[in-house]
Amino acid sequence: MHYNGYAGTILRINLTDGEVTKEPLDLELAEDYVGGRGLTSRLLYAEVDPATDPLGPANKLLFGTGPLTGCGAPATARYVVVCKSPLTGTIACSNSGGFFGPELKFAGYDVLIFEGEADEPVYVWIEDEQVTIRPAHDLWGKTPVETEEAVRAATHPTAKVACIGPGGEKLSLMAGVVNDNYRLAARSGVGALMGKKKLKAVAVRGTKGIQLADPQGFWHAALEVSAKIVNDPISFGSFRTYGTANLVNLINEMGAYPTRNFQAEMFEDAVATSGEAIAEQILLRNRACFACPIACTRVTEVKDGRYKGRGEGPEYETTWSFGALCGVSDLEAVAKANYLCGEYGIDTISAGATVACAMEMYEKGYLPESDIGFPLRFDDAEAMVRAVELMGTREGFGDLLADGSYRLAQHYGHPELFMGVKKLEMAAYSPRVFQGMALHYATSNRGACHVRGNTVAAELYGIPRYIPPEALEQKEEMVRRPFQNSTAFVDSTGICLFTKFAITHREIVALLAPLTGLDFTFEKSLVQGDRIWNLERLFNIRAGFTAAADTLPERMLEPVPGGPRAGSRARLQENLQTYYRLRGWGEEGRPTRQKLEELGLVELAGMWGEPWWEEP
Amino acid sequence: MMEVHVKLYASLRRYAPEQPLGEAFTCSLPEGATVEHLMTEVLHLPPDVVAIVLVNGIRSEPQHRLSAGDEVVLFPPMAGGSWILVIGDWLFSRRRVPSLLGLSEEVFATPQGREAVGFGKPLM
Repeated sequence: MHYNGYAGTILRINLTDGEVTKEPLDLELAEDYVGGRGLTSRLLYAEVDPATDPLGPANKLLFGTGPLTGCGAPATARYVVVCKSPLTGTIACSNSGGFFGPELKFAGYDVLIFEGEADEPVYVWIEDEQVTIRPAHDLWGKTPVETEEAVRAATHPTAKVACIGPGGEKLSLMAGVVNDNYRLAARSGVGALMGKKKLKAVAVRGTKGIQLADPQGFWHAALEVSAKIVNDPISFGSFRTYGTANLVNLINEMGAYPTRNFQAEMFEDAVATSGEAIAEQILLRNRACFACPIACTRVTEVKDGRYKGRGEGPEYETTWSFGALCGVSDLEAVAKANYLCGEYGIDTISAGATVACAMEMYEKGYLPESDIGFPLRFDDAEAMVRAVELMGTREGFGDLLADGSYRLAQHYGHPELFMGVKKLEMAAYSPRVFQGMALHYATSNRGACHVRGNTVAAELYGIPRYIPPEALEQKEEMVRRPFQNSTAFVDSTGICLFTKFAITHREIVALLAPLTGLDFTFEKSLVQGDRIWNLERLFNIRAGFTAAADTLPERMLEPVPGGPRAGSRARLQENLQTYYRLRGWGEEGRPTRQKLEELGLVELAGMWGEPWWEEP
Repeated sequence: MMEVHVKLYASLRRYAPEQPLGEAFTCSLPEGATVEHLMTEVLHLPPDVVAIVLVNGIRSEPQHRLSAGDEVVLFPPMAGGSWILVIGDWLFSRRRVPSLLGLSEEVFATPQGREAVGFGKPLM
């Protein structure tokens, strides 16, 4: 079988008995689910009962690339990590850039499937056709940077490595998978499952190429995409100069920057932790992922003092979660917390949000100081950093922090202080102000994640067109199609979501068609996105989620206390049913028979239990 | 005349009086003047440097008429100049190339402060 664009092989590694098998990629499946997020989630759905214990041996951990991953067109560096989420119990799909994804493709694999559990720590070394499982006792306990160095010394100097840090080893439910030293497939706790499987690292060296169906057509399309990206003021301009943190002052001045565990929506010291401050005080240089002209990554360093450290970031969400959300205005402390999360391999959004939740419980008297060991007040930079240190090591109070704010708030009997949806913490765009984000956070398939449908692009930048944040009209269709479905498609191709400010599905299918020789079209891409979104929904329904989970924290339904958006609140209950209807779902938020037929999902809906669908 | 408070962020700060980041300065305008008037006649901003205008925190158009005491915050579409060079498989950032070639950065700066070369031919 000959493959263009795709590598053509799925690699299955059983960690219980060490068996390694290779299976050909089913191109019909690839045409329906594209690759990356879509195809890998489809493989998970068919193999893992959605009702399974996410940290049990039956859960599987999948790494997937998209057809565009590694193809050399701009910003084609993404790979995904898919499983049932240990944090949320929903389907998990976290993605990351860097160089690991392309290397996996060059080694000849579209998807890696890890099954079972090893008895002792191991790492997997993949050098093209050769796959070996090796002991990793010496690596256990090491940070990602130390792990990569040791693995490269033991394998090949140019091997690319994805691994877990101490957070994943200790099954922290906010642990991610780390690649290229500092990049994380961060959310949903995918690193905890890797830790449970005692899989410390995956090292890859690939020396094969990617076959192009129509080289001339492909490079023509790639040049056009390149020109569009470097001419785009957001993708290339703002992201490049100030990184993602260019948004801090803008979102804050709008009064939509959640502060002190979402008690307010404007932070008085936002400038101190903004992209401008990062650029002036700690930035060393930019770094790019594979084939990326944007280079949004910030390599930073705090040169001395108690917050000394070096790494990448903080990104917008990170400077917010450890900054405004905790009331902290010390940039070096924020940077330190970010570096620590990198060393532990844990998600910075969940980490900062969990500290903020603990701070509010402490200030309200729900969380005794004797449990923590020190006062944990808002605005206290040093206490924030100490809490992160405990969280990463599970030391003392850190044992509770390491499993995220949902479980922490539950533990102390105050679930209303958890600021998230489906156990995943919200990000740095207030759903009280952005009505699109309110609907999206409530309905996103992995909980309150911003990147599955970041409507701020429309509600602020006017991409694809401007609809004011407070408007409800047309938001249901906007959330559904140009954001949620479109992101599902883009994440499945292997191109970075940040190109979306500059290019659309049209440019992406113009790359996919000559790359793969398959019939990728704009119209099909809309259906593919819709199909992938509904497949993820099917997984969650089988995992036991109902419409009751499509909600927001009580606080988001109350008015903003001050700032330019005072009085604004999330009006989710006014448009949730319209959204369901536009999706082709019934009142209970389940697809109708007609919708399942339209997307070719009837058979999958019948897996893992009695067939069901909802009457319109 | 009336007074409004103005904040400039990111690369627009070069057009503001020396000011700590995030602090507003005051401008005098004729009664009922628009945001456009503020940008061109008072701040003397070149065309197309502003992408987003917030008046009292609400996104507004340049034709918006201001009132005394309004706070106007301006953001650029692209913050600062940047460009890349692609030679074969390698992407060079602005910082890398001059040092590689032993040239100063200014040699590469266009009037717009932005230039890109890709796959051996200019992209714009």
